[in-house]
Amino acid sequence: MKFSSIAYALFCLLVLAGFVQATRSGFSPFADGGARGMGGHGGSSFYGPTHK
Amino acid sequence: MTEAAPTAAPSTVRALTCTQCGGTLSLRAAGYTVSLVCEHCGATLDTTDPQLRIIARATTALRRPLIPLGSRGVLRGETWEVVGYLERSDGDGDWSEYLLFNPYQGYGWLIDDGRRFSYGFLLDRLPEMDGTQLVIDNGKSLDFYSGPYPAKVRFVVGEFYWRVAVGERVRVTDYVRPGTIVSCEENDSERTWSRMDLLNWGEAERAFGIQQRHPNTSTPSPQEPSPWRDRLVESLIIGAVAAFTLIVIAIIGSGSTRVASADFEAGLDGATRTVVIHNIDIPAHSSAIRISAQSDQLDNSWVDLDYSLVDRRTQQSFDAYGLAEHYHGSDSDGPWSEGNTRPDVRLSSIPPGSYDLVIELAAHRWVPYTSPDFYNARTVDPNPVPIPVTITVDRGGMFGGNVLLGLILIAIWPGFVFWRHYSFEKRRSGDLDADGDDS
Repeated sequence: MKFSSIAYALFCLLVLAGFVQATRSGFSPFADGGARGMGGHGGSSFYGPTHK
Repeated sequence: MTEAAPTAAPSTVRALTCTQCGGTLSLRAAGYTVSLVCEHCGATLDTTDPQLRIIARATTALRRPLIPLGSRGVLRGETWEVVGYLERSDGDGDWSEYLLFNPYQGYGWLIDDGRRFSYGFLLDRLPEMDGTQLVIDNGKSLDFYSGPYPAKVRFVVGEFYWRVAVGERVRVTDYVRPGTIVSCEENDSERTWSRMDLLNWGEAERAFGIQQRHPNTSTPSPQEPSPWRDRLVESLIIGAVAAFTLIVIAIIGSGSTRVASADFEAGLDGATRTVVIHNIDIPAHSSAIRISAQSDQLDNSWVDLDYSLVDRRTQQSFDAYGLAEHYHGSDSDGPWSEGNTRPDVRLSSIPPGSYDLVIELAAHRWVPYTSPDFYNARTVDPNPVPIPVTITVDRGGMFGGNVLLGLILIAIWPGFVFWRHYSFEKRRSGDLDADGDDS
């Protein structure tokens, strides 16, 4: 196995570990708000149809 | 890997004198060689004639090959001596061919395309065609690559087993598989098949003691295996395992627990109303919180939902905004409707504790700006129509964005390797495309 593949396997382990930790603590950078989310507000503050 | 140390081979060398210039010549493959090109004056001599009859006088200026005639080297376990050298051109590119001789092995070729060396032999069994593929005696199949294209000898020196001369032309057809190219060379009198295996970088240079070339893949040889292929296979396997594991974790971790639910009413065009859901407990560790609203009776109206999840002990507040809405109408394209009456918002990493959810509700009618009622639409109605809204709070669950981000991160390296492999293969088959366009 090439070194790059070993490094990639370690990287995948890091990603999985981060994913598990995020799932366990309920973290997501895509949240609408919360302690460490980046969304701030959920949904749209604009109302009315966008149909026309 | 082969070593450079030449080993002794039985001497088959005969000393001759050029009948044109009088220079001393060495006939290295005596008994096999048919023609000898004088390395001093370039005259082609007939070695089957005891008088060394001159077949052709030199027409091109002499130059020394990169690997001198008479050099010995060990290639893949066999000792070879360079006995002849010729240069060929197909009009688009030039290449060099060294004729190698070993009294036990016969003849071999060292082909130099100016970038990499290949190790060649004449095939002693006729290849077979299987559809569009060529099958050689070891059972390996090769794809058609190009040809027939003309190749012409531009320079020659040394001894050969046929009467080679500058200007000799053959028609060449190439078949390739990674690492190997098989060429069919034919003229009006004969057809020969030869196989050329690509040598590793530096292998020929070490064998014959010449300066080593630096690897570069900018213009790969037709039979050059992609250096990214193994990486691609490995990264796809690793990536697939990682992606599968991530999805399994996502499925396992997607469960959520209902921690609160309550029904409220928002007055349509009424004042903003504040309601509270008390005692929402988040035990043990930080959790994701999903706040869902459901208001199915909205009709060309919307409900603003301002949420504040307040820690009862610290008064720390986590805020979010939701909007339940539903609109419909009709225009020249026919009836239409839009809006989401069941919006939810997700809060990240809410610390453990006891919380109150403070909700500010305000429902409004939507009035098109073309309506005469447009400017009165936001007036507070003292007797508003109640719009029921159900709020539920769930703890846990999975963020789809996290799954997507994880999959993207896992896919980056295989995607990069695939791109490099694909671009290599595209460059490698560049001549094929060009031929295909021409034909």
